[in-house]
Amino acid sequence: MADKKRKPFILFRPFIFTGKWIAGVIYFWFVTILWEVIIRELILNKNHIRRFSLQLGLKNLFRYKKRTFITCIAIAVGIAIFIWTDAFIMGFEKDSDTNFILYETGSAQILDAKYVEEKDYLPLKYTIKTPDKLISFLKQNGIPATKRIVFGGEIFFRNGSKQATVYAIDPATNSDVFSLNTKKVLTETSVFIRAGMQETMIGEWLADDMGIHLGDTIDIRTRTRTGAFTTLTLNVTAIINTENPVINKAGIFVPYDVADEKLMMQGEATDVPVNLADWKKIEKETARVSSLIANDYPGLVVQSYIDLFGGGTIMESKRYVINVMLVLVFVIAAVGITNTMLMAVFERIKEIGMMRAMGMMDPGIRVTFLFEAGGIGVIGALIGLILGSLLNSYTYFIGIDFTGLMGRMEFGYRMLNIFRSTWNPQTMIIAFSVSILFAMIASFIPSSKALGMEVTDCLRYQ
Amino acid sequence: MKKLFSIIIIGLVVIQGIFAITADEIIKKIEESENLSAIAEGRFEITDNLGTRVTTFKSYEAKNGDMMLEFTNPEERGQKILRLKNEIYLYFPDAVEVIHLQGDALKDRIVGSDFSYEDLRGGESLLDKYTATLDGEEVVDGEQCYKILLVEKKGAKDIIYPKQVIWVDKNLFAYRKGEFYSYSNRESSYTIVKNMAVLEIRQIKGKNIPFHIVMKDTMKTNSSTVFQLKDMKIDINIDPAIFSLEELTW
Repeated sequence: MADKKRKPFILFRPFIFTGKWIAGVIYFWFVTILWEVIIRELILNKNHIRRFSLQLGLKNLFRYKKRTFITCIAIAVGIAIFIWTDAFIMGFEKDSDTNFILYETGSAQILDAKYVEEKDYLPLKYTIKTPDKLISFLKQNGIPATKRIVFGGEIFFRNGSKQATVYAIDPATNSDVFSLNTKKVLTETSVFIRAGMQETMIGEWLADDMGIHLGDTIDIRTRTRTGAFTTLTLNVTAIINTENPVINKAGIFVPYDVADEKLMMQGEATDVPVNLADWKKIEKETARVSSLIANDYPGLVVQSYIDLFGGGTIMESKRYVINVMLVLVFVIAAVGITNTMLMAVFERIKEIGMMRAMGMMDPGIRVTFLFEAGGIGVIGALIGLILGSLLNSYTYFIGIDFTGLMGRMEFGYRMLNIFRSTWNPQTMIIAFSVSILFAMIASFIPSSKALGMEVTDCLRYQ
Repeated sequence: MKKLFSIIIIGLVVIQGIFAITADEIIKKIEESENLSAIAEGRFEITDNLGTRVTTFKSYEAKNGDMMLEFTNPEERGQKILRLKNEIYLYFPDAVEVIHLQGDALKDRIVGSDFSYEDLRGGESLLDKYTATLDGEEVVDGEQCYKILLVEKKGAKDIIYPKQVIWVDKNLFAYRKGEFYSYSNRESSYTIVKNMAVLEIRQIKGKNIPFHIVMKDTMKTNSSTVFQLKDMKIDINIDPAIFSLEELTW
């Protein structure tokens, strides 16, 4: 079971990778501004010239249209790239998860606890003793399941040999969990393997690499449960082309009962994959299955597809990349806004002096600049959203084909070469809101500079 | 006269039957000659699809079966394998740590050769695991040999090859040839997976030592491992500290 960690406040997530203390500093800074400027002056001090500040801020926004536009574009490009990258990464992660679940693991698996520790070696000694009983029990509780023996083997054909992962599957129940027996997966004239028959089906890439065709006979050399060599001679009845490159490249499927006999498994299974309908709540669903089997099957554990993927590190890397990008976007936005606001403030120092001389309070003037910067943030973020959505629409509906670049290369994620993105409204909302907030925060420094001057100095400023 | 001739023939057959050597005795004789303390230097010549490469080693073996093998070629220099009774330990100088090989990790090949770490495990006699049957005599490389079938005993543990056929030199009581089989789902029940040929046997202090062995994976066309000894000293005193985990890291 993956540890349940409490998620930090949504606005702080981009900063998590740099450590909590930075988030703390930002939080303190943000709250101070919010309290001092917005809450105290606009809400508590109701008599203040709130509407005037807003109108003046908006007028200033369109005073220098070109400069505003260029700043907005800087923000927009950053936001668009961020939204699109996030959607792209999420898209192929989603596709990868789907292909991992449908062809390789199921949404979760029940395994012997000791098997999990040594799963890289695909050991046959840590097994589920009564898989059929467990499957019936799960089915009674509305959870479809199947049994498998997964083992490493070397495939021999003519003069070649290759290492492969062999999945001994139960043809009767496999389709309850996996999507192997479909027209989409089975190449033309392929016949799905049958129980009790000396048959096998193999991934298309593996077949191509070794020159194997339907009807050929191959040898699979492996070890029995006790460690003795055993060779299975099987007839190829199906060549499969899934959307999972690992299966296509090194996947071999044999009937469960054939492997059971030759590997001396005595009806046991290395894993029982289950089909949990709600993948989005996989942790909750996995916990449910764990509690269901806890009493009757001590020593067995339930691993979600995320645990099985060992993808914690990949997902963390992905988050790291996204966080870095988010920070870069904000840096671009902040530099643009600060520069624009710096110019705006310094060319309006006389105006500021005049307003202060006429009795306008400093916080009110600061709010004017905040509104102007916020306006730039809103326009930039809106353009960014539109631009990002247009880019994303292309990769969502059509995708990018990397076949020429990658060929049959495998890179960890379980997907083929057409990468498609997805829609992630959460990221869009965060990017939109945070860019506006950052724009406003970025205007704070130049406005402080002007407000720090004496009124007379402001009026004399050249 | 005919009667006397018949009696002599029957007598010879009976005497031959009484004094005929059994498969178990042959194997015991071989294993007795393997029980020695020795320091050896040699090489592995490993051929696979990627080509041929050579690794050299120096090994120390105690009479109780403990063994320490250290690779001496530049690529693997300093890597050590220690066998203590039935346990295998590895030392990699880059990692500066000792690895206790267990379970499925023992199936790994030694420096990519056709020998696995399992093959190094000692402790038990072949007769503990296999039922040996003498299957006549055959000539191998011009030498008269006993042909012995070894079939796994029911319930025997740690069997790698469920069936073996070995040819033992009738005069030297040393292996000349071997075939190693796996289970099979074919009618024959077994499939040959590896074969071994002993190309040179040297006599040192009255013991017959195989100096040149070729192991081949019969299911692969381009796979073989040549094991060749350059020098071997036997029945000498070896510091027992060599066969310790502490020494492994030095």
